[in-house]
Amino acid sequence: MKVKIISLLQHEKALIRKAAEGHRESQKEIYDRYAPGMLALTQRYVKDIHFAEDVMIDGFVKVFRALPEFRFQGSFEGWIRRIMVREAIDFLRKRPFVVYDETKMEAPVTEPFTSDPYHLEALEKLVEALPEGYRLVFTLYAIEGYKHAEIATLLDISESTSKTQLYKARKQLQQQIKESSIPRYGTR
Amino acid sequence: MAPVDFEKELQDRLRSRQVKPREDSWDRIEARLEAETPARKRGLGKWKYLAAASVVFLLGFFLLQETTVDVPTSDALVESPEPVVPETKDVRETNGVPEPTKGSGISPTDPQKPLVLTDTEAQNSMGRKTRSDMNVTSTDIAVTGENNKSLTQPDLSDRSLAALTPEVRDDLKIPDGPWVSVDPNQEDGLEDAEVEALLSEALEVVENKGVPRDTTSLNPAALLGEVESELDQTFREQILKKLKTGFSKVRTAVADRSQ
Repeated sequence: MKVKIISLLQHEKALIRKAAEGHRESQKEIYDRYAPGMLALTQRYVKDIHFAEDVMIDGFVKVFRALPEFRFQGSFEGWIRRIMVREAIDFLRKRPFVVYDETKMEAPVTEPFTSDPYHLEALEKLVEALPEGYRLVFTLYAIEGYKHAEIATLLDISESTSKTQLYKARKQLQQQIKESSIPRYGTR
Repeated sequence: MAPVDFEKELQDRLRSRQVKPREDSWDRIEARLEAETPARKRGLGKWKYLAAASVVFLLGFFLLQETTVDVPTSDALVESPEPVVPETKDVRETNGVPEPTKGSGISPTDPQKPLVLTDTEAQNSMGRKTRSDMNVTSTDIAVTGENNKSLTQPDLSDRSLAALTPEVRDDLKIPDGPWVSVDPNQEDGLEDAEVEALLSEALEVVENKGVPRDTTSLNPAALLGEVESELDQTFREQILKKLKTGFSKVRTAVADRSQ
């Protein structure tokens, strides 16, 4: 198993090197491997699938341009994800209707939820239905794992605004879960 | 803010989610990558043409240089079996009858110019073996004859004047009498009578002693100089013409390419 993983990693390294040299087949292989995940990622930020696809294409062009600079430090997929996230945020920044709610947050949300796939799907829909400002910060923080400082830099907002957005996103989710049929299980 | 449990679950779920892109997505990416590549190639092409032009220039330059150096490969021709300078000098010093004008440095090419051979110039022009050192011009040499007048240069081949028979002299319209090198700075010169005496004396000596034909030689420096200059000029003209043609072709190609 370990040997298989090492072999796969070595293959990926060779693939990346060839793609960095402009080898079209290798680039295509990388695209085929990561494009579906990246389109799902961009769609979390840019709801419209067509715009999301445009963003993904721009992101891949940047990936292939920047490939010679990739130093094999950290995950390759993580590197691509960061490029895609930046691209999606650049896309959103060009649109003027993202509004961040600056009102103060109250107590932190600590409601636990079930890991049932069915209910997770319902949760996912709730996240998608969040206002854009909330959704952005929530996705960056909870899904992509960015810190508030990074989010603040990315979105060109203050750190406290980022925290407020996250709080409000969670609170709204909690409210919607209460109102919906998604059950709450146990305590943390 | 503490992370909520469902967020971890949601994260795993969302990060593993996949959406299949449209069929033409890769084509669009490829088209954009292709659009960037020719621009790079065009840039390289320009440099390639410039490099080719510089190589042509350098080659032409080196060819020119080599030819200029190669022309005097006839150093052997310059070398004369006997140093002739002392003989000329002896004539001056002893004021006697000169040896026949072997190696007198007479150029057959400029019959109208009077050629004056001075003492030091004779040494400089004839006692050396390399082409560059034997850079003697026709004005460095003079030949005097009857009545102390400068003579026009007769048409000579590989024989010395003194070795010529009177008939040949007549044919060539060479004045009779011995040939003496004189100092052009000497304003007075020799009296006609003295010249006559010297000439007849020289003729006698020549007739008595004979002339070693094998040791005679023409002035190679003048000959070489002339041939060299002709060759140089012709070759330079050819090379420059070719360079000019090549360069204009390359320039046109570069201009066409960059348009």
